[in-house]
Amino acid sequence: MPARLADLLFCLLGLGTALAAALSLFGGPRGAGIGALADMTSPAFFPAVGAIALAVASLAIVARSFSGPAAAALENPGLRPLLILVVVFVMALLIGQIGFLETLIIGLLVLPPVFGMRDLRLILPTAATVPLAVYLLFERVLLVRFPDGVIF
Amino acid sequence: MLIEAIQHGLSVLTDPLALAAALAGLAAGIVVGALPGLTATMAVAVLAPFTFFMDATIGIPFLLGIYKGAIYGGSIPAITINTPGTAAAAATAIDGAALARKGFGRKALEMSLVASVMADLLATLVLIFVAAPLASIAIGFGSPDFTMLYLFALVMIAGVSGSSAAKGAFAVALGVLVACVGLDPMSGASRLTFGVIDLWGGISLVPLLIGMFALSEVLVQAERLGRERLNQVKVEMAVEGITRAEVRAATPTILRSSGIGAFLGALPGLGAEISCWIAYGMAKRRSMQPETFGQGSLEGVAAAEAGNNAVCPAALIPMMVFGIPGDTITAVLLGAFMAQGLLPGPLLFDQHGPVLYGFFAILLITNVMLLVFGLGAIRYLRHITAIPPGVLYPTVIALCFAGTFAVNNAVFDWWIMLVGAVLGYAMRKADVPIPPLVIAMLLTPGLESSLRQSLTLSDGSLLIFVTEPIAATLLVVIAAIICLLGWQSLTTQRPSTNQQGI
Repeated sequence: MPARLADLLFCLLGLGTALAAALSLFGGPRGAGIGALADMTSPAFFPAVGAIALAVASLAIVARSFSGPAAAALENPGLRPLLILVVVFVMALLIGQIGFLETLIIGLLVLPPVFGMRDLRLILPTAATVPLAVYLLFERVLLVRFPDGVIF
Repeated sequence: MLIEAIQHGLSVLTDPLALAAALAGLAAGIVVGALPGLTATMAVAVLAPFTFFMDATIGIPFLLGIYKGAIYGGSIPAITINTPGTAAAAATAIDGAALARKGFGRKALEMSLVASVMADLLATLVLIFVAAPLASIAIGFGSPDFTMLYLFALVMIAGVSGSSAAKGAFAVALGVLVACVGLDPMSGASRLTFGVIDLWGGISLVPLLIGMFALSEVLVQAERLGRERLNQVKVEMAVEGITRAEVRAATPTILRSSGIGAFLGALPGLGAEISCWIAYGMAKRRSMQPETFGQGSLEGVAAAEAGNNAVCPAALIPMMVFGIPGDTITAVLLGAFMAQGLLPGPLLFDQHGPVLYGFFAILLITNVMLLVFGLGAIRYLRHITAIPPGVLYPTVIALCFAGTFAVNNAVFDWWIMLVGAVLGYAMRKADVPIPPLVIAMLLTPGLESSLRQSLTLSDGSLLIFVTEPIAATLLVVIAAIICLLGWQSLTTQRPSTNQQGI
C-alpha cells in the first residue's frame, strides 16, 4: 500500500472520530451545545478540544504527506494477521457460549497452523497443556472466575 | 522520617517473598526479552494483571524485575541471531552480532550483562538521590503548575515520538479523546459513551494496553514470519569470556552512556530505544578506535547496553514524582501503582515513603541478581530464541485473554482488547506512534482536573498561568518547544521509526 494512501486513511479515521465525538458532545437534545467550548470548566470542553486537535492533526498528516517526496510503500501484510484477528474475534465470541478453557483449547489448535506450524506432535501437546496451565493459574491460584463453560 | 524510610527499605532486603518476586520477575523478563518479537512493554502489560492479586511489596518488585530483565534480555537475540529482542537492543545488534560471527559471542553477551548491570546501578542511585528531593520541591506545586507540567509532557511526547510531529499530535489527541470516555468525574455527565452502558466507567487501561502492545505485536510478528529468516550464530561457550582489562577499558564508555541514558530516561517521551543510539553514537565519536564500531567492538556493545539500561530507573523519576510516565513501560507501571493504591505524585513519598525505599532497595538488589543469574544462565538463555512461533504466539494470545479478563472480571474488556489490537496494528503500519496515545490517556484526567481547579481559583481567568512563576516558566518552555518543532517539521524530514515497542 502506498504510504500516502495509508496517511489518507488515517486522516479519514481521525476526521471521522472527531466528527463522531463532536456530534456526541454537541448534537441531540442532551448535547452540551457549541457554547460549551467557551466554558473551559464544562464537561464537554476537554473532549471538544481533543476532537478539534484530532481533526487538525489528521489534516496536517495528509498535508505533510502530499507536500514532500513520497515515502516508501508499506509492506503488504499478507493474509496471516487478518486470519489471526478473525480467530481471536471468534474466540472472544465463543468464550461466552462454550466457556474459557474450551475456547482456549480450540484457539490453540487453530492458531499454530496459522503461524506456519504443521507438526501435530507439537500442536496437540501445546493445545492440551497451555490452556490448562493458564486456566489453573488464573482460576485456582489467582481466584479469577472465568465465564462458565459447557464442561468446566 | 527519611532515616526510618531508608531503614524500612533495607528491611525489605531480608523479606524473602519480595526478593523471590523480584527474582521471578527478573527471570520472566529475561526470557520474554530474549524472545524476538516479545517486547518489554508486552511483558509488563501481559504480566501486570498477576500483580493485582498480590501485596504491593510483592507485586511491584515483580514488575520492576520484569522491566529490568526484559531490557537486558533483548540483547541476547541481538547478539546470537542479529535480531533485537526489543527495540532498545537495536544498537547492540550491530557490534554484538559481528562479535558473535567472529567467535566472540560469549564476550559480547558478558559485556552486555556487565554494562547493563553497571548502568542500571548508577541510574538507580540517581533515582534514589534525585526523586525524594524533587518530590519535596514538587509538593509546593499548585494546580496551575501541574496544568503546565502535564501540557509540557504532552507537547514533548507528541513532538519527539514517531516520524513526524503531526503523527505524534494525532496520537496525543486520540489519547485525550479515549481518556474522556465515561462519566465526567466532577459533574457526572456522560461523555462519548454513545449510549453504551459498559463505557460509563471509561475505557479500561490494561485491556487496551494488552491489545495495543501485546496482541498487535503478535500480528506484526505473524506478518514477518516467512519473510525474515533467523540466522542463528553458534555462540561458543568454551572460549574465554570478558577479562577485567576489557571491562576496565570499557568503563568510561559505560559511565558516559549511563549518564546519557539516565538523563534521557527522566524526560517524557525519550525512551531506551532512542538513548541506545545516542549513547552508541557518542561512544563512537569519543573512541580511540572508532573504525572498529560496526565490525565487532566490545565498546560498542557496552555503550548501547548501558545507554538503554540506564533509562529504566531514570524513567521512574517523573512517574513517581509527578505521575508523568516517561515511556510506555512506566505508563503500565503507573497503572500497576494505582491499582495497588499507590497514587504517583509529590505526595507519594510523604504517604508511602517506606514502601518506596523498599522498592529502591529491590532495584539495587536486582542488579546483583541480574549479574549472578545472567552469568550463570547465559549458556542456556541463548537457546530460548529457538522456541517455534507456532507455540510462542498462541501462548501469548491465551495469556492476553486471561490477563485482560482478570483486571475487572468483565467480558466487555475483551472487546476493548480487540479494538486496541486493531488500532495498535494499524498505527504501527502507518508509522503513527503508540506511546503518545497511552501517555495522553494517562495524563488527561490529571490535566483536566488541574485546569478546572486553576480556573476555579482564578474565577475563570487564564492569567493565572502567567502570574504563577513555575507555570509561566513552563509556558515559555512549551511555546519554545512548539516553535522549534514547527521549524524542524518545515525544514527537515525525520526518518521513519516503525519501532513501537521497548
